[in-house]
Amino acid sequence: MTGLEATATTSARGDRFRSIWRRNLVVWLALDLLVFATLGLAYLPLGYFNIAIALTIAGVKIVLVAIWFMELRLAKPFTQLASTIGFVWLLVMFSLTFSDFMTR
Amino acid sequence: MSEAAGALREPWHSLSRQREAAAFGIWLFLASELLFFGGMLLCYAVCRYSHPQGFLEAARQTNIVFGTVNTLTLLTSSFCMAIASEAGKSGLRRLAIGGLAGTLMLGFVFLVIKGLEYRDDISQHLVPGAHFALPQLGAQLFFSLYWMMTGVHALHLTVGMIIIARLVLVGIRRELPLTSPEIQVTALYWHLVDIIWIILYPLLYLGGRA
Amino acid sequence: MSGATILVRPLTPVPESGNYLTAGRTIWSWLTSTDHKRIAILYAISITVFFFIGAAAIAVIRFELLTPTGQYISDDTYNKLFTLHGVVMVWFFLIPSIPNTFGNFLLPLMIGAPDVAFPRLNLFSWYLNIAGGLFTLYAVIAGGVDTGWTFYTPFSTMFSNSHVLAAAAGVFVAGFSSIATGVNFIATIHMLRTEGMSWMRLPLFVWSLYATSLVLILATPVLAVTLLLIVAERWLGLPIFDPAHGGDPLLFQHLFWFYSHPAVYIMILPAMGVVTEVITCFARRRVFGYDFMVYALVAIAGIGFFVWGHHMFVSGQSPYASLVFSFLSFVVAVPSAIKVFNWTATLYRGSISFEAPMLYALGFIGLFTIGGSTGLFLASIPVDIQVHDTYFVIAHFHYIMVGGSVSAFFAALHYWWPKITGKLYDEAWARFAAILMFFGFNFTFFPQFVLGYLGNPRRYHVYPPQFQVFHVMSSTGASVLAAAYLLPPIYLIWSMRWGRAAGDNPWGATGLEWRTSSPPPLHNFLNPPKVEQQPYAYHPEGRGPVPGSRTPYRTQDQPS
Repeated sequence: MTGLEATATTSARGDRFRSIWRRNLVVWLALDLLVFATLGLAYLPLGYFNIAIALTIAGVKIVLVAIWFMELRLAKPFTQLASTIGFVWLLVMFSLTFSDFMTR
Repeated sequence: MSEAAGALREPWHSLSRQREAAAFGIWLFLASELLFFGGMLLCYAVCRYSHPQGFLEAARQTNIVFGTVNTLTLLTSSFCMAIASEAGKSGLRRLAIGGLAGTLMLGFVFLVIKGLEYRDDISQHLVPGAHFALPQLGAQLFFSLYWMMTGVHALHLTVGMIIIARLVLVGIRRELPLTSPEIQVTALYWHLVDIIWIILYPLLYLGGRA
Repeated sequence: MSGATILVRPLTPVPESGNYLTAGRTIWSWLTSTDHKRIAILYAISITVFFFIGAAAIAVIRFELLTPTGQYISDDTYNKLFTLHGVVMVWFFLIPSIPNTFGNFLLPLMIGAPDVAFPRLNLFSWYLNIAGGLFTLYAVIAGGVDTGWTFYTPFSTMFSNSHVLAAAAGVFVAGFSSIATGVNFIATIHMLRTEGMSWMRLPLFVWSLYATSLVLILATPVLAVTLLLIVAERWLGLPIFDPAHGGDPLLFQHLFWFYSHPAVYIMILPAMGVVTEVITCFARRRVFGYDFMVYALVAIAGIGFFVWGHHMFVSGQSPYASLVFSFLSFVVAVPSAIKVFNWTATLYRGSISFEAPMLYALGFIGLFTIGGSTGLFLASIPVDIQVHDTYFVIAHFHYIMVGGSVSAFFAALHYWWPKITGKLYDEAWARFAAILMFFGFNFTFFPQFVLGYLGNPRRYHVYPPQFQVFHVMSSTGASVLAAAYLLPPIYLIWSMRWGRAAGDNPWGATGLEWRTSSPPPLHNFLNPPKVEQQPYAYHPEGRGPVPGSRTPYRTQDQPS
């Protein structure tokens, strides 16, 4: 993960320019589609599944942002681990707290 | 290589190591931010579990148009930021600054829409207190969390915008070495602001619509 | 122009006679220094000031508690004093104590680095700590806070007439100092270890800082948001924990203790790291079971996040959740016990000498064991129902935090004093102070176990007259303890002026920090060291130490 090429030739610069645009545009389009999907699904009466589906779609959006926009795919393995530890710890907090609220 | 040398700081001997450390460090900070918002998400989850009807009634009152437009705005700003970060690493100065400027503008758009939305919420008496609009138990809890979560998110967004504005300025004045980790670190922070909103959108805007 | 991808900055040449103390002699140079060693000293000064403030509060309380009825102060003042004691001691003394003073000073030295990963962030963290402290002091001066350091709702959000907002703001700001420190330490340990310093060659103090930093990063933000929610409910009138609007005060307690239980591990893990450094040096022995000592540190940090509900057994929490938390609280004792066994095994057949650091470290082992064992009493739900919110709990956590952490802090202070200042302190006075402290501590807090068991509640201004004898013992012990705490500043500061020069390695220890001068140069090492050796190589493998030997068999940078 370096790419510190400040003196590349013009055509190489053009290539990089286009590839940067293309890659990120595809991700952006996917994210927009997911927004419309989740918006539409919110109007379907699915009971408890509404929130589950909405949060799942949110999860997919987060993974896309993390892997592509935040370049986790290029990061060191330990950085990738560090990126997930927050979520894992939230799971701990949620599950043990709900072990109280759900069993009262 | 004075531009790159300007970016190198103590105690680092190599710029690539410094960049790696900066990215690692900001990811650790982002983990802490996730737990920060996570505390409020826990409050939301517990309160919604305890008062599902009140929450859904309250969630119906949020402005889905503003919320959705803001979601799209923020996603696009993340797109601009990703471009800026990659352009910076590739030495494409104008694209990098353009991306930063785009992010800044879209962040401003977000805040304007938020301001309009808040004004509407206030006029509809959706602020918890004596004149609150909804009678159901749990509805005021929903809106307490709505104001807290969107408010804290907006504060984080504003801080991000200030940092980006500074980057744009030093970038235009050519005082910012593109090889500095600053753009990349700021980008990661901005993407977290986007991720928080991605989580808030279904929780605050999509409930109770069916 | 070559467009090189790696840029190497040559090491700044160090003047022959310079060290970090002489590089800049103005106060401004100290207040703007990004040198981790100077920042460590800035922290040392600020935590000392806060320690005296917290100690003054408890001195008044212990004086008042000599008699069963309130005589000198009002009920309200009493509440404000114990709140002040808790808030200041927890957040402005204990949490920063070992990590931000000895951690900051020693971490780069122990791994052979010139500084921490983010030196400017390091300095900023001190200013955050000071800013938070000033907010809190404002709360005190403006009239105090009476909620207890735990800020329980709904009293803190709806009924207290004291300066809750300022105190909450102060702790909120100081929390970001903690998070910054955690990020800095983890990045430093990952990325700045010198050549040859692999993970399983790290000194255990470094591992303890790593484990502590994990807790700092993951727990502190939850405290921050919890305090923010108190501010929201109290100041902005946004109901969140208010039962009248459907909220639950227990939600506050879950959020608060999710941070505050791991916080106690922030206070003890670095202390455990210090104890290993000191015990190995003064027993001239390799540590027993290095690998398990590492696993134990990380396990304590991790499992420590799963046990917070043991503070809530009598709060109305579900009994099923209480069972889970109780079980996990027993589990978290196991890695701590492993460490105590391993320290004991390290001492076995060692060539033990009783310098002041060793006296404090040995005191730690005994006092921590008592405190930790009484934690198991509290983890048992039926016992906790009896002794919750009594002096038993106070004695338990003071045995660990004061008998444990503060003892280790003094061990560290004496052990590394020669390295930090280049001077040797007076060993006779130091040993006297250590022994006085041990006795003073036990006289202060052991009677409190009895008081709690007999039913004396905590945070009460008055008590039944039959308990007076124990309170008198406790307050008397506290005066002895206070004297023992006042001695070290005197002889240590004396030594800075008149003490003998220490030399690079007065204790004959093996770590990298002892391979540079005392005090160290500005960039720590004239040449970056190369590590060839496990830590604590005080004797050859398979053989014990040579009795009376003060030279290490191998320091970490010497080949086998």
